[in-house]
Amino acid sequence: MAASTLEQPAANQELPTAGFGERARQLALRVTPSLSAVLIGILMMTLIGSLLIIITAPGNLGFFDRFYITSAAYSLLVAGSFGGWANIANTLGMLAPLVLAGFSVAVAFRAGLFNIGAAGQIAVGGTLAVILGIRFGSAPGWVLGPLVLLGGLVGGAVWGWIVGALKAWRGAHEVVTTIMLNFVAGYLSEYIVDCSSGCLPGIGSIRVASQPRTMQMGPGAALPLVSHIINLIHPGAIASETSYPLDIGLFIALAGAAFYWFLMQRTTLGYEIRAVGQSQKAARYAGINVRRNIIVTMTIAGAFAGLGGAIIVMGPDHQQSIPDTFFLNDQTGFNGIIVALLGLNGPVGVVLAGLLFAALAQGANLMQSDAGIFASNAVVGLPTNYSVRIEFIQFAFQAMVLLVIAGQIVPQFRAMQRRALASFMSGFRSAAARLPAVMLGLLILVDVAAMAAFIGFIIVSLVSLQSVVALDTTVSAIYYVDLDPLFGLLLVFYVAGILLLLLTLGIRFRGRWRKQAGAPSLLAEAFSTSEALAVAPLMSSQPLTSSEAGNGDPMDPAR
Amino acid sequence: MFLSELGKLLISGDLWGPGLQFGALLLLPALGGVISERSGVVNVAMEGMMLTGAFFGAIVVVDTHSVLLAVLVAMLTGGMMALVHAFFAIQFKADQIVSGIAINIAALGLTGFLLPIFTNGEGVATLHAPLTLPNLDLAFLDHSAGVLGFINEVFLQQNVIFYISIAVLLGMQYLLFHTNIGLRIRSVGEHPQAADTAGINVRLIRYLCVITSGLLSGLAGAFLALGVAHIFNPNMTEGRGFIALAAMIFGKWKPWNTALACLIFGLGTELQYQFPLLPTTGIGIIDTPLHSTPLLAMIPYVLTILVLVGLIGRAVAPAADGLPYEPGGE
Repeated sequence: MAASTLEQPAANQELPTAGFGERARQLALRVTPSLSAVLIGILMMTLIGSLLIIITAPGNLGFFDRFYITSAAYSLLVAGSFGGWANIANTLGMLAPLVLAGFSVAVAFRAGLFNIGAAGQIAVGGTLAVILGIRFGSAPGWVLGPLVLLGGLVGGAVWGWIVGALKAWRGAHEVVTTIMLNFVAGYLSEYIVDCSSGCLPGIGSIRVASQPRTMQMGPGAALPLVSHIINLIHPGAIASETSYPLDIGLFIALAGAAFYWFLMQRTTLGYEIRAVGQSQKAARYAGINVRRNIIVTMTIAGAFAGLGGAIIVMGPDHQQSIPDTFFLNDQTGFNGIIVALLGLNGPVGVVLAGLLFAALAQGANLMQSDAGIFASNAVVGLPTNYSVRIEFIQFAFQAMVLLVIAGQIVPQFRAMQRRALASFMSGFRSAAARLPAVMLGLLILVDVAAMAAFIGFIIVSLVSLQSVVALDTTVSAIYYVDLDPLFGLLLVFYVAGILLLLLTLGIRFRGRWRKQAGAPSLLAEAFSTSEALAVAPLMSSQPLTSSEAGNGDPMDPAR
Repeated sequence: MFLSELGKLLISGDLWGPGLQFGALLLLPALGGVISERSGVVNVAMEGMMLTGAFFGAIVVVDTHSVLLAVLVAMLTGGMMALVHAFFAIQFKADQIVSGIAINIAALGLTGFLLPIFTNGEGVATLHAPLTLPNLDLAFLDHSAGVLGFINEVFLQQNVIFYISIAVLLGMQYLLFHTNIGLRIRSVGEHPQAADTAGINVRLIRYLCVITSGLLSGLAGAFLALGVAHIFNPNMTEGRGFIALAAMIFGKWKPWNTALACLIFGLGTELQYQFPLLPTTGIGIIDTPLHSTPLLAMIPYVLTILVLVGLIGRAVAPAADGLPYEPGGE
């Protein structure tokens, strides 16, 4: 059994004899934790965001006004991210770099490494892509496009390789080195672009509004827009191609997801990476070269992020030119951490979590637009310069999700609740033997009701906005939004629903959450998986080389 | 010409004075890291605690015009962030690095979210004399030259927090290695089970140590905003908490060595402002990096990596560092 497991890495996950129904069930089991994690993420975000908005609204506002602002804000958020094709295209257009950054973090997590350096890898990849795009700007698109993508990939891979090499050979902890390399990469990018303090000749710098920027990349370095492709197939289908800024980077990212799945589940390398992540000792005894795997993993992680960097600069947002401090301030790499954690490092989960983040970012853009929230401020008598700083709500949300995942709070909270319930029940246990089942049933009922309320709330908000907002355009059309106490009531109901949902989801996915959450060696408390056990018997047949036996545990990070 | 100027720079008060100041700025969070990790809780959240302290220090000083109150509030808010970290790390046995990173992100989001709300969207303006942390100024030494002038410039014109940080350094060394409490802290970090058996309250000690690290980081934040930069900007800590972390590792979790590491990083930070003032050599490969702001800005970060790389294998963390404590029964 052990030997066959080694030869066929995936054999212990899907038995070849399993029928279609069994395989579907297994797939569902594997995807549900990601789905529920993303769902909990959404709920946490709405809850925390609502509270922040309600608390920080100016003091002269009444109770319902505060709820009204909240609901208006979230309606705008939903409308801005998914209302109308233009907004959907915008949202999907943001997806690719986020997802690739997410996979960059996720692949490192699988090897038990915490890659905070996606930002730096994106910066180096993106900068190298820009340099190539300018140097070979005259090349035709079918040469230049792949070349620039490849440049991003290689740049990120090199930056990731540095981290892996330092970790493997010198034991430098990757959390510190990646953060330091983020700054180095950001300044490197600035150095190359900004000619006031020496730059790469021919790359920097034209000044736009006194900010140094790079020259234009060649026209072939722009990723084709999906709307353009649709127009090629059905001429005249879309009047204004540039209003739908979704490029084919999305498909590159989805291909990346497929590659990630294949790498992790169907190749020896992926198996080794996961084994190293489960337990470096066990992996070493099984004959896996741990150092090599650390380096390879970080290189792959960097390549993912670097590809994302290339897609950022090749996208329609930047007109093929970046300002000097762009990569110093870009948050994609850090959002990638949350995307990976929220997506539980799975291919489906990361894409879904990326979608959630892209929707947040795109919706936030809309909420930031003066016309959106300021005009509605005037209606309820707010100072017009009060705006809901949704991008920082995002930060709060990220931190909270991280803490939830880090603490695995949901199951722990459930355990606390259960203990309290048990002590409460112990007095009349016999009489109430059936009560837990009844309660669970009730809970599920309330759960369904809360879900319905949640959906209903969104629909009501959207419908009432729809009458005044042309969702397909920008929101400059909001002049008046009907103030309805119903919003407040619905909101109370739905916040309660969120809480209940959180708890009930906690019950249902507790076991699987614990098993699959996060990076194996980082977040799981012990290694006891079938894989690790499967390789254990091999220890006897694998002679230890002297270097591995002598050093104690050289792979342990020094801190 | 170039070399003689470089030599002059390396022994000038212009380098050592600010170098020591930046070193002290790193020393406080680094010492916080020392005490936290000595008790067995990995703390990568100094960055976020510093930022929180800097933010609330700046806000309070603008509102109340009381520097002392601002410093206290900065320490308290830093301590509260640390309490959150401690709560998750100790109570929920969360992964301490993830939890620390979460604190950092939360601090970034919180300060950025609250800044426009507390200041009506205008941000904190540059702070001037009565609202900043004062420097020591011994009038009778003002015109001294030579060695006395150097000593005056480097050691006797520093910010008040500099002297506090030196006191904290001495106190930390004494506390950790010469008192009962220090022995308990170290035993909790090395072998919590044994410490528990000996009747030491593991969780309480860890809570106190993590909160202490938050207090110190918050103080460093106030130092940064009110004593060094005289302003608050979003994300103004710029990775200093992580550099302090590296200094702590470089210093092998010992206060004296950590202070030495902080001094090196502080001098490295100041060099990036001093190098552009040097005359040109005429050799492009030396001149270009010495006069390029972005390249010089990398110095502290590159230095940190080099230090980490150069050292490993010799630094040994406390044995139970990062491991949540599970009482035997569970």
